[in-house]
Amino acid sequence: MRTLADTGTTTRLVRARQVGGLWRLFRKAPLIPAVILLAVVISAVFARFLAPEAPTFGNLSDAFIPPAWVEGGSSAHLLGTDSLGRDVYSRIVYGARVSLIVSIFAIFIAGSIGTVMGLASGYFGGRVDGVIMRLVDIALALPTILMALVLVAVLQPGVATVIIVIGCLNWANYARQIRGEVLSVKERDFVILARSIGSSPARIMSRHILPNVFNTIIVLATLQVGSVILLEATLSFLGLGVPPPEPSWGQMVAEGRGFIVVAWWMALFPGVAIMLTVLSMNLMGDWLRDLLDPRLRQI
Amino acid sequence: MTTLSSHSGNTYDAPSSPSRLEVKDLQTWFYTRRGVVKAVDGVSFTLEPGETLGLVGESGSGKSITCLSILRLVPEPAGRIIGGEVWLGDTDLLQQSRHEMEKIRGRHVSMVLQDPMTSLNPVFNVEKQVGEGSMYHMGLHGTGLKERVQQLLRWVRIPAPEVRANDYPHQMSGGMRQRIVGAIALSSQPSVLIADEPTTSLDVTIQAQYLQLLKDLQEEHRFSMIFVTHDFGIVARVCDRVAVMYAGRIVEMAPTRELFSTPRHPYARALINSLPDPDTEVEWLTTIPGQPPSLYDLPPGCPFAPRCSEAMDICTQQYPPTFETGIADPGATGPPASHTAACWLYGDSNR
Repeated sequence: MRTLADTGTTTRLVRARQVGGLWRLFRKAPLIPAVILLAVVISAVFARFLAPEAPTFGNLSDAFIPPAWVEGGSSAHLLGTDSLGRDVYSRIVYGARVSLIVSIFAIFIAGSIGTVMGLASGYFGGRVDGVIMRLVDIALALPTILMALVLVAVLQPGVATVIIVIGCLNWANYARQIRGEVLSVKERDFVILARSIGSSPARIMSRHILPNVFNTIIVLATLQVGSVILLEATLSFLGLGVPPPEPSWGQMVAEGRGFIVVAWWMALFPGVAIMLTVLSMNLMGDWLRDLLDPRLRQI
Repeated sequence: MTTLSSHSGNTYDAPSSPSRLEVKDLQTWFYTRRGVVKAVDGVSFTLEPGETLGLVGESGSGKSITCLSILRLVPEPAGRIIGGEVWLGDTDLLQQSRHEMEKIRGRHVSMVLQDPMTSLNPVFNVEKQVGEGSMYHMGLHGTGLKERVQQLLRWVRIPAPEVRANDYPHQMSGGMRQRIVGAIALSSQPSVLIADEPTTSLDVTIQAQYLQLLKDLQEEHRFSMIFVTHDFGIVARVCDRVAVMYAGRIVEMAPTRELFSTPRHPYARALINSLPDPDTEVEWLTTIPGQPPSLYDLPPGCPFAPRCSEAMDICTQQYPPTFETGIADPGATGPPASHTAACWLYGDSNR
């Protein structure tokens, strides 16, 4: 009978732990960055309903209207209009789509290639390591923007091309960083223990090493958001990224650059959008890293 | 009336058929910038089914590398198994492909490491780690795997395994973690367990508990064990036979009781002499003069010769073969009751 009572208690304990775990998961999420990122995502998905005007619609007679709260501003254009009379707010809302899609997919591609390369390089060592690391050296020595320009010029300009090009040019950082982490993780006792019970190299890498270097991948990925958005902007500015008049934040900053003295809002607001998004990504990345670290979970 | 184990009918209790482990002239060398380190240089021994063999010796004498070599887990590319044979039953482990080795590790031979704090993967809960071996070797998944993990945790006496299975390693004490490591090592019922100083980082009471647990498990599941340790107290408690290692070689091998009563090799004798006797009061503990030799360039003869009080001319010229010295203690019974020492003192001309 006593065992039955015990079983009841333990079941309750298990349940309490699971519920507690779920609550703990979200308790420490940083609120403001989460809200900002959510806003970016919502903008990207529901741009059609949130933007008062089409991003490509412009009326030259409405050009250079300042933001609504500045003298001469109009309530019809909350953040003012650009040199072609297009609504800046609408373009930012639509631009979120491009920035989000490009950064997510490009980072996914770069991260995947880099992680696989880094894992193989660090785990197998020797000749595999030598070859991969020389490839990394070459990739890092290439001038990224020039390479991107060449590639985009050869391929057809467009969002997909930008994603592929940025993805294929950014893997080297991941590979090098992850190789270093793998080198230290693979010497740890739990890897030897896992090998001693018959785990294959593929299992060791995916089950034991990858989760232990995942933090690095997350942090690197969040840090890359900024540079990817900027690289996309550069390409768009040079006419080889997202083809105008389709809006992207980087392109808007680039366009506003020429009018910074007369119409500061043209470059400022997309710039703020980039900054807030990148900052929020970094903060969320920190939170995610803490969350993934079980040593901090129970505190 | 109902016990916790009654509901888990499990058909995987059959241990892999007990096999004899025979290591013949094993050589594992490390190639470093400073030269070749002969970490293991011609080690031979046999391990009968169900037997516990102690491997003692100071740090750097090659105990751990011997163990890693048996599992073919020597850190490459610096370390290489240069020669020898490791027979498990009628398979030479050194001739197996990497893939075949993966099937042997865990299923037939597995290992418990020294430090339970680092032996477990910090990012997985206990259930995932304990279940890994059963997943590979028994093809268990889902509920079957869950039940198997519960069973293993009960074997190693983890209290409330239903709750503990969801814990992460950092939520457990050292002793408990080391029991988890034990559960992982035994998860596929190997016939040989290599325990590389499993109690060194545990405190004394937990040590005693853990040794008892290992002995009980050995009784239930009939695996043989290689037990690496520095601690003669532990040797006396758990080992049937002992091999004393010095500078990458086994210098003496004898049934445990025999070794304690009549150590033959001067090094083994010095080790036993340096054990403090609790009944006599001494100011200084006995030590062995000198330092263990550098493995980078060993002298041609016996590596212990420079520290040995009974060294002869031949000792510095030629490494002694292993001589059978005969059992002195009539009460000593090991499976193959023999007492050997690699020392010229026992050479035929000196008898």
